[in-house]
Amino acid sequence: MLAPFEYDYMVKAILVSGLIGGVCAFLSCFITLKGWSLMGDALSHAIVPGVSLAWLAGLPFSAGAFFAGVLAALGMGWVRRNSRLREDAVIGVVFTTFFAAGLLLLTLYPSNLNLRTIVFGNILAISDPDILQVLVISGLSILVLALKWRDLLLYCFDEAHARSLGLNTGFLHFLLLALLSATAVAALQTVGACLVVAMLVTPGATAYLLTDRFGKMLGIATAAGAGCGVAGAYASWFFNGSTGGCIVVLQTLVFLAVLVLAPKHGLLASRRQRRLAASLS
Amino acid sequence: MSLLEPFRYPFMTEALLAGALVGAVCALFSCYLVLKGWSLMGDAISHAVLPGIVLAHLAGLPLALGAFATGLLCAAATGWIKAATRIKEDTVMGIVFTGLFALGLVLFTKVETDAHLNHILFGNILGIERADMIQTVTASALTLVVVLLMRRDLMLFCFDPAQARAIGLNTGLLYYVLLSLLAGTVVASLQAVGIILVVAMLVTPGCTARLLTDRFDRMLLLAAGSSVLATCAGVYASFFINGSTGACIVLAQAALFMLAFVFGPKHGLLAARRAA
Repeated sequence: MLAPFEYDYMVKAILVSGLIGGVCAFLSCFITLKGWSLMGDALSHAIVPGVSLAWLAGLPFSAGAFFAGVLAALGMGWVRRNSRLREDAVIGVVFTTFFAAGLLLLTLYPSNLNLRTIVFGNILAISDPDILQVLVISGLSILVLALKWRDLLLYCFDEAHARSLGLNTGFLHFLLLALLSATAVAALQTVGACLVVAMLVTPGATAYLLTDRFGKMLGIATAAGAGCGVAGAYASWFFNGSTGGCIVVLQTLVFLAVLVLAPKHGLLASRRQRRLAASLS
Repeated sequence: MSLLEPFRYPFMTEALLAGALVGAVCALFSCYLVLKGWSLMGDAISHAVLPGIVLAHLAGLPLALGAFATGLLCAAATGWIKAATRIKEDTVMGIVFTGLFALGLVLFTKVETDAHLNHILFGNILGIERADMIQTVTASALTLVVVLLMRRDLMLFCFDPAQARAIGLNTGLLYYVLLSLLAGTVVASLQAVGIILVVAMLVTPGCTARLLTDRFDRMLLLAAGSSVLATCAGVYASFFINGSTGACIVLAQAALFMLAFVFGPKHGLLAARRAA
């Protein structure tokens, strides 16, 4: 059972997965409230050309990825304002364009940054400079979230109310997008582009089923995200399978268990309540 | 290398024909998706087919069958969880499709080499095999027939479900028809551009056409035309630059979209500026 801990790379992978899982989960509470799943999915794909360009230019990959993510978000906003297309369609057009550009760059200039890394993540082979980047991104994200969480919460719950209180909603919108890009960059390393959205949605939804208080929701989501990151990375050693896949499958299983068993909003609880109501009437 | 070089190879002409067919079918369907606002649903179903493909491969069934089944499972599970809880639909969709996709990845790394996975994820229209070609053509043809037969009902359902119900259409049935068509087109276009970029084939042509016209019949024609053009141009270009075919197709689609966005006669950027 302790075999994975004998290998340095496994210990590193488990710790980093836990950290990224926790940070993404913290942000996921805001994303699920705001209804931005598609945006999370879109940005996690849109950062791919940034990663390949940064690699070609010899820059740190997170700088390129973050830049591409923000550029995609601005592009979506611009097309949305200047056309009569629905927002979801605009997001679909823009992020697939970015991803296709990244894919083309990767096939034209083969590098050690292969397609497998993009799809599966490469947490088992993460290098020390990459770990440093992840630490910096996580630290900054947590700092910003800790300072601004009340404003962001109000913005996610009720944008009109936030504006009437005098909050700068344009800035908050951009801040949330930037946080989303930054965490997507970190999560790309662990689970790969296709599954980043799971890290950014599932823990928040799990916590939302368990509590009605936002403070508790943040705590539960972060614990669930970090726990699944650690346990998933650990389990992948025994399965000998994709680390990202294991982490996300685990998160989904936890969600399903909570969906059935949650004390107040779970399926069993609501069935009990319905039966109680029926017997009373 | 001459410009006609690609046509000398049978695999290139086959790829161009298959690409044109898939492009046209996806484009017709994309008009409905764009109206209905189902981009995320397209993205979700296209990812959710992965475990079905792996399981069908293990069981020796046609891959299309497994893909179709898990695609529908994703949609059904999303509807069910959304009805049973207070979680928003987009969140539920995100959870369900990533769960299925992750399951597919884990199964995949257990059972097979990665040579084939790249084809499923990124498309492989140049190396398409006879059996896969038959599946693609069948799925495309079936989808095409159903879309053409039910096009008025589907249009009303996408535009205004309340009115569709009021005039006596079975909207529950139409919902499942639309979902099945979506799963069918995803299966058809997997070979061309792969799981990750299918959503571009299902959204971009409809958007391009929507910027160019106000009439739905014309929108269908324009979408199909632009998509066939983009698909052929993408396949053709990928021969010369030796890059991923799926990516070239999607970038060609995006280029046509940008042209429509800037130069569209009535709703384009320049026209709007002139009018202002």
